[in-house]
Amino acid sequence: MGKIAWRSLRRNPLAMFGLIGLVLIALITIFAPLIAPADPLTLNYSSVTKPPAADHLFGTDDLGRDIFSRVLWGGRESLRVALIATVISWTGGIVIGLVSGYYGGLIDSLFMRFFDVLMAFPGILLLLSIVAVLGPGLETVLIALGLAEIPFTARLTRGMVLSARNRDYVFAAVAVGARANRVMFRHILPNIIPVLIIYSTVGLGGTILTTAGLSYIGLGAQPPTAEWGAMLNYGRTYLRTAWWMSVFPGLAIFLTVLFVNLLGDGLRDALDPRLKT
Amino acid sequence: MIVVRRLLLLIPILFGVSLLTFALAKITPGDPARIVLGQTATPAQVAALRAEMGLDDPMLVQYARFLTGALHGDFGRSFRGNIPVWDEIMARLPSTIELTLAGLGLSILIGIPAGILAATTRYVWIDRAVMLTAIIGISIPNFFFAIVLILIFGLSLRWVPVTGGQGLISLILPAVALAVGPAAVFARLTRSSILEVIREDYVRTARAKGLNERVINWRHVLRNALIPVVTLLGLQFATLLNGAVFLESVFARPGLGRFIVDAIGARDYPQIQGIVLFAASVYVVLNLLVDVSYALLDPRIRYQ
Repeated sequence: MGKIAWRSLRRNPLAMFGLIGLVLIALITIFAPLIAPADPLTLNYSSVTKPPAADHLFGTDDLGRDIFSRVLWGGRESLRVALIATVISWTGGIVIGLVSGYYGGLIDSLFMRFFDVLMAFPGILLLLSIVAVLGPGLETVLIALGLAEIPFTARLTRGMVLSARNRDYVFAAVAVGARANRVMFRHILPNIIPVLIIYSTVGLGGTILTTAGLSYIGLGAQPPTAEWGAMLNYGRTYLRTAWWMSVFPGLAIFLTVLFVNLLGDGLRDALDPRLKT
Repeated sequence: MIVVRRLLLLIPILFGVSLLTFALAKITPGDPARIVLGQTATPAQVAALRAEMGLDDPMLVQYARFLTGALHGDFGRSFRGNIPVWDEIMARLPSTIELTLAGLGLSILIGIPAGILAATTRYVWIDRAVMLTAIIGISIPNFFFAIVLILIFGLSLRWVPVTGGQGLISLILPAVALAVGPAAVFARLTRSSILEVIREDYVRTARAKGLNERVINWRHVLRNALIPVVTLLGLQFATLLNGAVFLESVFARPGLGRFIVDAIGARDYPQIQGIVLFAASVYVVLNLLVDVSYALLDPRIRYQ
């Protein structure tokens, strides 16, 4: 299945564009310490709010910090939080979904009713509630995003487990005496994981947007941390005098999410050509 | 049938929502009496206020009091200012409703025709252009788009006031910024839904009967294709609320979104609890209404 998906993906120019863009952004942020011309936190009062020029590609902010360097370093924060949150929500969701779907019965009903209530909340309220309990901060946002998505990831996994449970390979595994854990994690999981990975890519764009958004309203990364949302928030005060303080971090968020979404759309089409958009 | 079933489901869900909101305030670290009185209060004063606020009562009693209060529109009083939270919510609600309705209306006006246009020109350049615009619309953070709009139309061209301002003109930029994401979602769904419906047997039958294309398109294709779009309407309310949270602070609008952000910053738990309970209940009820209207639109669902 992976091979077929890859072949379909390679024929989709927009998806390949997204993949290449995403790899580039990943490389740039990973190697930010080597690429960035300046330290993201060092103040320099001799070149304050300078517009973009050769020595400061994206200009400088009101404290003389190099925006280009801050955008590079900022990506590390934004992407780290979004990625770890995605891993948390899928690990939690896969475990609960497997157990719930495989065993069914009371465990399943309890989880599903609880998730019904959680999903009755608009997502942002659930996030804000968790942030309210834990207190603002980037790590809080990470935990909140990870937890708030579990109802969705668990449901999706559960649905796939339910249909996998009646496949011959599962009957065969049970017939040769495999224990429940083995059936769930060694037989069912490897079969459904490609689809789950695709769904996690589709959701990643939204997670990056929300991470930046929460920092933007002051509930995530706190100054002076270089993070895209927080930089956008900081630059807002200087909109009249220094547009570059807001525009470059904003473009960074937008392009990253665009690349993720282009790739995600391509992956989804590869998975199910009927959904082709 | 489904209408009754959905109505009955509303009760346990709202009950669960109230329980979670109550738990939210209880698991939060910090003594509310201490927060109200400040650090200078003596332990005796704190104990007295705890007793007065009923914080020493058993949890079940406290929850019952919270629930009966909430059912009567009593969400308690805020730490900041000691004002009934219900009144504070009501004071900010109109601004959020205004923004949300404008955003929703605009996104429908743009999104659905764009989706129809893309579907009717499928696989040629117009379709490609619309769909590319749509994925850009989904990917751009509304709070960044808002800043771009302010830079272009507020600061460079000076066509509209940047923040504050009165009446409709001050609503234009926030509504456009809010509408862009949902409009893109509507466009994509409308297009894919139409493309699915035109392959249905009943459309082929209609064509075979010799009906003219206008009747087929409007009565057979569009009416059926818009059913999933209506369901999405309920879900988009969450996106719009999301937008209100992010956008109200960009445009300095005194709405519920900005209110909850401020409340979290100030750790005013009665306010946080009140807004969460209120907004979640409204969301649950709105989604119910959407489901019911969906059933009314589509007899196949009504009799399931």
